[in-house]
Amino acid sequence: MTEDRANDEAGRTGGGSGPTDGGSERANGETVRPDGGAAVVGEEAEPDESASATNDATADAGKEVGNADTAPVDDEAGSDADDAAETSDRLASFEDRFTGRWNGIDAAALLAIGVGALAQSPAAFLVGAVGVAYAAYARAARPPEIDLRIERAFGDDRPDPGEAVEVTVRITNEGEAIPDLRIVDGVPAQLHVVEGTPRTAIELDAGETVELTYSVGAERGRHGFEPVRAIARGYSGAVERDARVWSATDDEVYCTPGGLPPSTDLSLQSLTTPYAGRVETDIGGDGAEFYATREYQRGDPLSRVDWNRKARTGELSTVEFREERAASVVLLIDVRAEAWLRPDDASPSAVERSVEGAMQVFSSLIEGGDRVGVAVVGATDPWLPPGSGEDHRARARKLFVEHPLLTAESAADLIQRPISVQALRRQLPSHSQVILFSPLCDDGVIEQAKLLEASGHLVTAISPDPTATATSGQTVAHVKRELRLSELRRSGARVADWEWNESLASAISRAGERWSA
Amino acid sequence: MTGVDRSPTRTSGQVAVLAGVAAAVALATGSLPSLALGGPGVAALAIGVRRGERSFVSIGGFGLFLAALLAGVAGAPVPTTLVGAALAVLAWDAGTGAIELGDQVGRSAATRGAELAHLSGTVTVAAVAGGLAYGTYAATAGERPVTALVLLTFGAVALASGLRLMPVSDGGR
Repeated sequence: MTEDRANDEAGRTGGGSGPTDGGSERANGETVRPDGGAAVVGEEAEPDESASATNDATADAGKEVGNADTAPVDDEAGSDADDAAETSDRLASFEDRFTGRWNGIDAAALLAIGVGALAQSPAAFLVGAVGVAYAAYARAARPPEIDLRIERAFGDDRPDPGEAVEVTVRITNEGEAIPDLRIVDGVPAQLHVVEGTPRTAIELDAGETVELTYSVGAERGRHGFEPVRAIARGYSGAVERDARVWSATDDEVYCTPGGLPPSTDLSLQSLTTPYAGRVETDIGGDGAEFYATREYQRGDPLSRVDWNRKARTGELSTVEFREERAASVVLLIDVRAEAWLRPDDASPSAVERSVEGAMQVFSSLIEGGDRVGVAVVGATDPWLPPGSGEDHRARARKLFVEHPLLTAESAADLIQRPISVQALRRQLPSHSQVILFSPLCDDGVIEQAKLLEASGHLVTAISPDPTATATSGQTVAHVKRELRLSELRRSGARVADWEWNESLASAISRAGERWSA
Repeated sequence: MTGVDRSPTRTSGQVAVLAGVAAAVALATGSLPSLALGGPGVAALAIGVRRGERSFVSIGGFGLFLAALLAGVAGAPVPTTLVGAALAVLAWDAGTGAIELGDQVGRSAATRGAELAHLSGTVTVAAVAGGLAYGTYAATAGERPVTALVLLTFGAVALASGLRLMPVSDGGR
């Protein structure tokens, strides 16, 4: 179990240390951005300076060679002010650097010349001459200007969790040709690429457009894309310009799960409120399903008198139907550190699964007219008392997507949270039943579920299974969880074991057979 | 973002090994002893490209370059030596390029366009510089002592180092 958790944390915080790592990129981009902006402003301002001080520039040629050389480029940019402004908006930051590609070629060239001189060998000497040409080639390199227009398009920008979203990045070169352009798209840290690759290296002529297509697995939440990282080199590749380019489009993937399919029969337990709903109770009254007949009492409506029986036997009797009432349900989500488990690095955590499941159950129950609330195990803060209606639904949606304890990033500041079902029990309305979402991988949560069950709140546990069976350690964890599940079942609670690759609807219908048996 | 394959890219890696083998073979036809340096050079290069070890690639490339010098001193024809040396440079350049690009972008990305553009630049320089050097040599052979040419070349080196270096800047300037 600890192994699993360690993996989990490593997966969330590590993420890879290569130059294209999403997390470090973001941090970098944020710190560098102000400089980049300032630098671009400086560039725009420069044409005036160089125009008014042309003589100075030539006089100071020795000192300011670099400036004088770049001035013509700036003049061009200045002549088209709008264009320059647009470019500066796009470029988040950039940095030029030597790549060291040709390091050592000078030494090799001189060595060859030396050998040629000592041995009086024209061939060796000519090899040295070619080496000198390469050294000059490397030295003459300059970083290309980056003027790219980036547009992203999504196959579906409001996907369901787990769905693969196709991302198409169109990169148009609006500047000069770039012989060697490396592109790394700024995929948000929480999204995983499931197909294709968000990187490429291309030769991009002026005005040419290239498309980069890949798919990411959507995860719950709001995900903004980072700027594209573009590394441009000339032919020799001795210097490169490393830039971050904002896209021209508004790039956000917003992902919330919908309800369960309408066919799913999430049978609630028969602990109900006095309001009409869809939970069939053992109370006779108005309803659809036949329940019993009883002796006629004065005041019973005529439509419910059993006239057939009256014709047969002469007795007046009244038909009763099973009353359908609304349940009051609290969805209890386990967000403690013990619940941050996952079968492998690429998967979302069990908490993520739990929240998704809770959102699905929430919308199904609300549709059915039940009163639904939300609480978490391990904290008192997100607490939404059972309710119904459009306002309530909006509040819950906001809570699910935005509450810090329920977002995918919350693992970063996880602390060990004490269980506080005591506090929850004080908050719970007495006729509420509880649906617990937890991987059920430690004893504490089982204990608390049993306490809840004993205090009269019927408990249904929906448990995403984060265990794997690849190693013997994982198998032990798997079996221990199975044992906890049966312990909880023995206490009277209903348990749905939700396997990792299974939809919630099928997990519920699988468990439903067991519950009704 | 985990699991990006950062091993060297295919196109450049293949070009590197092919150019290395071609260099060793070309030099061996001119002067067989050069194979003593060229053979291990190709081996080191291939290992470096395979494992993504830049130092191996550099050692291999330098070995091939030394093989070219050895062939030249041992009396191989001038064109053979030049072609061998140019192929050695190409092998080294493609090898380091494959490692670097694999590290930046990854092996699974489509990288062929950029790789071919870069390598075409390298080949062009070799063709132009080698052609000029050999043309000059052939036209003036025997008329001037090698020492004069060497001094002249030092002048060229001084000129090359006088070429403006790129103003490397942080964030623009």
